[in-house]
Amino acid sequence: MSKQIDPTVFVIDDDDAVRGALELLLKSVRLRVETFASAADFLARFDPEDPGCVLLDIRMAGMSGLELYEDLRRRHAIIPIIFITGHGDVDMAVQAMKDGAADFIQKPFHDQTLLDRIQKSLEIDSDNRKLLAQKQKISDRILQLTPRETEVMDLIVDGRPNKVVAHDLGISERTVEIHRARVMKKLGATSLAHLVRMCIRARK
Amino acid sequence: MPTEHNLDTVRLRGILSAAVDGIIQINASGKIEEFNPAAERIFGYSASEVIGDNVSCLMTETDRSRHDHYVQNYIETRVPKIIGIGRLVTGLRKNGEEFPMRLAVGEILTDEGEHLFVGMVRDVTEQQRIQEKLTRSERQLTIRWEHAPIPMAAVDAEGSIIRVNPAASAFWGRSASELTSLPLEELVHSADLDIYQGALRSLVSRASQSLQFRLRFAHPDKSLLHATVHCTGLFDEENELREILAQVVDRTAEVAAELEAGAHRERLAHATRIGTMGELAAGIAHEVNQPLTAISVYASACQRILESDPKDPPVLLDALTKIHDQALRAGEVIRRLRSFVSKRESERELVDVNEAIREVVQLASTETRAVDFAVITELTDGLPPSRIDAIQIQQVLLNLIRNGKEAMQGVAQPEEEIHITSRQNLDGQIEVSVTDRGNGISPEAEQALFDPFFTTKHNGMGMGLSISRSIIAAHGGKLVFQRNKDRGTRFYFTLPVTLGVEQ
Repeated sequence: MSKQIDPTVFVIDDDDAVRGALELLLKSVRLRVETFASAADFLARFDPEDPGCVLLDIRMAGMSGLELYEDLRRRHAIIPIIFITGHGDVDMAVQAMKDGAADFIQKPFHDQTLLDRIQKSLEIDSDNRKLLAQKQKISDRILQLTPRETEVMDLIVDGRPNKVVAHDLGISERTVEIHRARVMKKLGATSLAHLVRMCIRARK
Repeated sequence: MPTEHNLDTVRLRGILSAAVDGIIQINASGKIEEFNPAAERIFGYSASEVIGDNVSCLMTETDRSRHDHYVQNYIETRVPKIIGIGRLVTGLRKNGEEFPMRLAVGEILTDEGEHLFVGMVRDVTEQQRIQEKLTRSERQLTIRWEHAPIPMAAVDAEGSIIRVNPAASAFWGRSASELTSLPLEELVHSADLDIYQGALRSLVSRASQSLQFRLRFAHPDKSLLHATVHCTGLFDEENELREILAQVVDRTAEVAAELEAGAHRERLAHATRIGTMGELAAGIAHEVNQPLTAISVYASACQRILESDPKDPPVLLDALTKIHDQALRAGEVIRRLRSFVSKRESERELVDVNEAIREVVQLASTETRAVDFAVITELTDGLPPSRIDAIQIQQVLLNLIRNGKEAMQGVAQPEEEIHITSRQNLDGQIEVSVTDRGNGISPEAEQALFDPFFTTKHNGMGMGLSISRSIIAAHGGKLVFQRNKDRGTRFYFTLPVTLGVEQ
């Protein structure tokens, strides 16, 4: 279960002035901000459960922004990342984008542009976390099904009528109906369409 | 008892035999009557051989035929051609050798009314030879003086010009008559007067006998003449200073060439700095972008704070201070780059070498690379200042740092570093080293490393090390390198130290 806390913008930049300025700007629009002077500092504090987004200078001494990004991906962190890039680093950022990074913004930038990007990233993160939570909920419920119920559910979701399911499993059609009703009840599905959607989501 | 007459005769004999000059007495018909020992020595005849002979046997063919006629003519006309006058004639020795002699003739009229002539003869062969030699050497001296390509002037103990040769006239752009009796110091450039007067004093007081020093002169066309002056004091028998001979080696063209070479080096250095700048462009953009980003973000934060409530003045004030600082930071980056790139005359100032190193390390950290290696400095505190052109020395350092980083690409681990050290070596000079952890220099490359246009890089011009070495050489130092024991190369150069009072 994800913690019920406000999203945080994690600012990672080794330039004191830029870091300080970003902190002030984000606080002025009432965003929660945490700042870090290096990738290592951030990793020491990082909790994948924390909602929010990362604002990351692509070019830093020590571990670079790109290296941190790769490290987070290895940890399967879903937190969106916005790269702050300089004039000469667009190629690097584009490469990162192809690899699936959230976004990048080139210095110097318009404050509203940055805030919009952050807002968008926070929404994406929020959506991702909701989806993740739902998926987790469905998976938990699927785990409560008996093996037979799971078999029945898989076939139904595959689009097979009760009669075919009964034949395939070598049980009566009436028994299929009972299992099906239990599955619907345990997963909280209101219709066949709903059940199908849940299963697709859980398997994603 | 000798008679009066006899006594005279004895006295005369004594005089004749003691005389240095040859004495020959002849009668009116030219017959030799007296021939003293000196005459015997001069002509090689004994008296007994020639007495009674015509004196013409002592003369050359030309004079011989005329002699009798001369004597006869004189007796008749009484107009002297030689008597009491003396002249230079040619004598003939017994061995047939002709020689120059000075001849004076006196006439004696005897009581008997007979004309006798006495010739006094001096062999001037030796004298004439010396004379000729003197004349010849004087002529040679004159030729040497007149035609010497080196300007020369003789000055007296007060420093006034006694004479000059044509080369000196040409050098100083004034005629010999203009220069003669002019105090030499009027030609000396005012900045060098002390040098000249010191040298003159030293020569006059005989603290030194000859001196050599650099001097600048002012040409009438306002141009500056550079010279090395060699001065020698000339003393007479009494050991009094007679004159000072100044030989002037014109160095004007040489100095102009040096200046031109220096200017050329500066142009080249400037060109490579510009080239370096091009390669650093991305890094520069980053350097300026950082403060600009901070400024723009602080400013927009201020706007938002002002639009909202509460306004929170301390936060605003702090943000404004930061904006100010960052604007200065951006300006500083630009100033540093400008001064690095700007084209200017070489300026040597007393510089803290460590400070120059720190500045250039800042500049070098703006390089963009996939893997950018850190530059670590280990500088010795309290180094004496050095009189250098900081920009040029920084160019050398930047070049070495960039070379080092390039050598490390793909070879060294990202956490490996370039080390810069400074220290004072055993000779008291400042030694700066730049050590990389790259793949080193191949033996083939070592040979040509400092040659112009030698490069191992794909897009290098091959001027970096060549110019660096000439910059260090122009500072009186040396740029060399050595292989590290394990991996990489250490380049180091020396710079002179300026101690105590400035020259």
